[in-house]
Order: sequence, then C-alpha cells, then structure tokens
Amino acid sequence: MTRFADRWKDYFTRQPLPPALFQVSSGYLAGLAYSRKEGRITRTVLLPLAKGTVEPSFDKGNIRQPGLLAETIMEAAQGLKVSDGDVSLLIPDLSFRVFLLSLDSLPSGRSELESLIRWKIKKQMPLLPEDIRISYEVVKPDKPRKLLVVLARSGVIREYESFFGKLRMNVRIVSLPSLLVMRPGKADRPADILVGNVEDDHLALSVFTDSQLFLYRSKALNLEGGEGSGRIAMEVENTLRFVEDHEKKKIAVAQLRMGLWEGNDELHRKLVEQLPLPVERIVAEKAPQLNARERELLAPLIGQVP
Amino acid sequence: MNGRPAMNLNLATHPLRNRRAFTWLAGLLSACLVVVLALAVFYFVRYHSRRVEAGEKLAGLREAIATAEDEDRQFAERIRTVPPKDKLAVDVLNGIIFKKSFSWVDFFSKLEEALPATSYLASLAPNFREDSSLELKLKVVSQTLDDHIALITNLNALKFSGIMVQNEDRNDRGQIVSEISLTYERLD
Repeated sequence: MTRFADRWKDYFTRQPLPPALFQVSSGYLAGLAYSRKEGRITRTVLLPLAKGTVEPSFDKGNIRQPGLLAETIMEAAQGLKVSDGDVSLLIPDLSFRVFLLSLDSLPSGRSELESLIRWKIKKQMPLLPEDIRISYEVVKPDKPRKLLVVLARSGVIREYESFFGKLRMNVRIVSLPSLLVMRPGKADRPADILVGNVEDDHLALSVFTDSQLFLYRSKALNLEGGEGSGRIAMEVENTLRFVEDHEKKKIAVAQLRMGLWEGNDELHRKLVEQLPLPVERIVAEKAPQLNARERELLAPLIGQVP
Repeated sequence: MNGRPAMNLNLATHPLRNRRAFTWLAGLLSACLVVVLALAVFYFVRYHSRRVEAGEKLAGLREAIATAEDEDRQFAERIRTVPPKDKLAVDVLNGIIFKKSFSWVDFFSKLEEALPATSYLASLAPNFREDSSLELKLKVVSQTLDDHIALITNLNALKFSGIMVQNEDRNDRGQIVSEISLTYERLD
C-alpha cells in the first residue's frame, strides 16, 4: 500500500523529463535521447572535450572556448537526432555548492523556508553572493529534518542556458551529476555506504548511514598524472574517519562512478589496492544495450530517467 | 533519501514542472463537464421531443375544436337558413312534442303552491305559444287584499313570468275577483 502511495506521489511530483539530456563536464560531453512515450532511452552519445573548453567554477563563467563547445554540442545533437526543444543539462559539480541542513521544523511558506535556508547557509558561507539560486529537497522527513540544498550563481546558470539557447535548445532542467549517480547503482545496496563521483577535475562524495544521506562533500582535484588515485584515496579515507567519529558507523562499501574519459580501469584498480574497504564501480543497469564504459560515463544522465 | 537520487533539484530559469495533477484535474473536470453536457443534451432532446409531441397533440385538439366549432357554425347556419316551409313543419312538430311532453301535474302543483289557502281558482284558460311556453288567463277569487297580494308574490317567486292583473273587482259577497294573465315556462 505504501509502495502504491509512493508510486502515486512520485507520479504527481516527479520532475518531467525533456526528450534530450546533456551532461557537460570538463573532459567530455554526454548526451541521451529519451522517449517518454516508449519509456526508454533511444540514443546516446559521448564526445571528448578538449582541455580548457569548460573550466568549472562556482563564481566565474565556465565556458572558455564557446566555439569548440558549440561544435561538440551540435555534433551530439545530431547524434541524438534532436535539433531544438527542451533539454536537461547537468553541469559540473564544482559549479554548485551543496549543503545538508538540519532543521527542527519546516516553515510552511516557500519564501519563509528559503529565507531560513539562506540564513542557515550564511552561517557556513558568510560571503554568500546575492545572485544565488537555491533548490532543495527534503531527504529526511522525520525529526530532525534534513534538507539537501543546492546553490548556484545565476550568472553561471544563465551562461549555460543562453549558450544552449543560441543553439535553439531551451534548458529546462539544470542539476548536478554527483547526486544522480546514486540511482544507477545496485538497488540492494547496504544501508551504510559511500557513493562517489570521480571526474577529471573533482571528486564528490556522498555518505549514507542507515540509508539516509548523512554527508555530501565535493573537492576540486587535478587527477592528471599518476597521483590521482592517491588523492582520491586520501579524501575517501578522511571521509570514512569523519563518519566513524561522528556516527560510530563503519561504512561497508564504497561505490564509485569513474567519470574520466580515459583511464577509469587503472584508477579503479589502484583505488581497490589503496582503500581499506571494497570498492565497487557504479554502472547504470537501466541501459543494457550499452557497453560498461558507456553505462559508467552516462550514469548521471541515466540516473535522471525514471 | 533511502538511496534514491535528488530528482527534483533544478536550478533552471524556466524549470520544467510536473503538471500531471493539473492535467488530471482538468481531465476530470472536462469529463464531468462532458457528462453534464451529455445529460443536458439528453434531457433537452427528450423534453424537446415530448414538447413537440404535446404541441402536436395540442394542435390536433385545437384543430378538432375548430372543426367542431365550424360544424356548430354550419349547423347553426343551416338551421337559420332552413326554408320557411320546413320551419313551419318543424315548429308544428316541436309544438306537438312540447304539448305531448307538457306536465300538467307539475304546472298545477306549482299553481296550487302559489295559491293562498283561502283563495280559489274561478277559471283558467291555457294557450300554448309558439316559443314552447304556456300563456294563461286566470280568474282568482281571494278573500282579502292580502291574499291577493300574496298570490301575486308567490307567482313571482315561482318563476311565473309576464304576471299582469288585468281586472279586479269585488263580488256581492265582498270577495276580490281578479283576472290575471301570466306565462309559464318549463324550466327542465
């Protein structure tokens, strides 16, 4: 009965999906065409991006080589057989700030809640810019309530929107990939788990304890060269220690989505050697027609598909 | 979160919204509207056809009434235009029928009712008129003037018409002898 109610609630509240989904990262552009009528992924595309085309930042504009990016997007659009219309866009995690806030009670009014969120965030981020956009979701409805809050600067979002707008595509969803890689993983995952998203220039880690999101953190990293795995392992270990200290919980497994254009297998092998817990790779299970590499790189996009 | 992703996080300027609830509501309202409209059309057609049917019946009745009135008029016209010879024969026949059916018992019981106890009839001369009424000439002997007046009043009350005292005299015994002409019409 609860499952049925959840399905109905989901049906009436889930964000609808446009027919084309893109992910822009600093290393590649991923695209996915989804047929809502057929309820399946119809086409996918993965194209590398030259270094420096996109430089993710929370404060500054991200697109450094617009001509190159436009060419790649048009090529991807051709591959997906979409020319215009609504699209969903995942932009790098580093363009966002993510907070996990605990609140005793939630104000009923939306504007009151946003004011409360701003006030709470200002405590952690005193120089909060004025032009920020906030999106949030209740991740723990029972007391103390937990709210996952995502911030981005309007200028950064508008830069991507106007860029796609010039290519006759309306960006109707802007979100971040690291929160979407969780979905394609195994459904029977343990209750205490670390989920990570590894990209060329950053690492995002989410920790679940008792199946509840307990911690989210992202870190800018330069994974070029052979030292990448060491940096990642260090960050993961620090996070595990923090969780053990605060929650007195031992994380059973780390599930990582390797989002590098090249060298994912090598990086995974090294992390297995360096980390004190089992390290699994997140591979989207929803698109069996794709190979393992595609399912790993496309995991955040596939994570949006219902 | 239960391992589920943050699906509804969206920072787009014009975010896509789930409008299924509105769509369903609109659909439901439209369906209700369609049902109401269908019922309205059904009842309109049903009562319209009944109204038409009733109208047709009414028109038929009006036609029948008009026909009856026409026939009535035609009969009246025919009666009016009956040739005098036929009319005479009809009158004679009517007169015979009237005379045959005239109830003398009723007539005399009424006359007796009108006559005061101390008065009596000396003579009576009836004459049937053409309009099926009976013209009478009476000679009544009354003891007093009051009896005479009571007689006139009673005759009036009993719907005798054209009451006219033509002659009034006292005989040698001091009684009032009056000659009265009047008309009697059968009311039934």
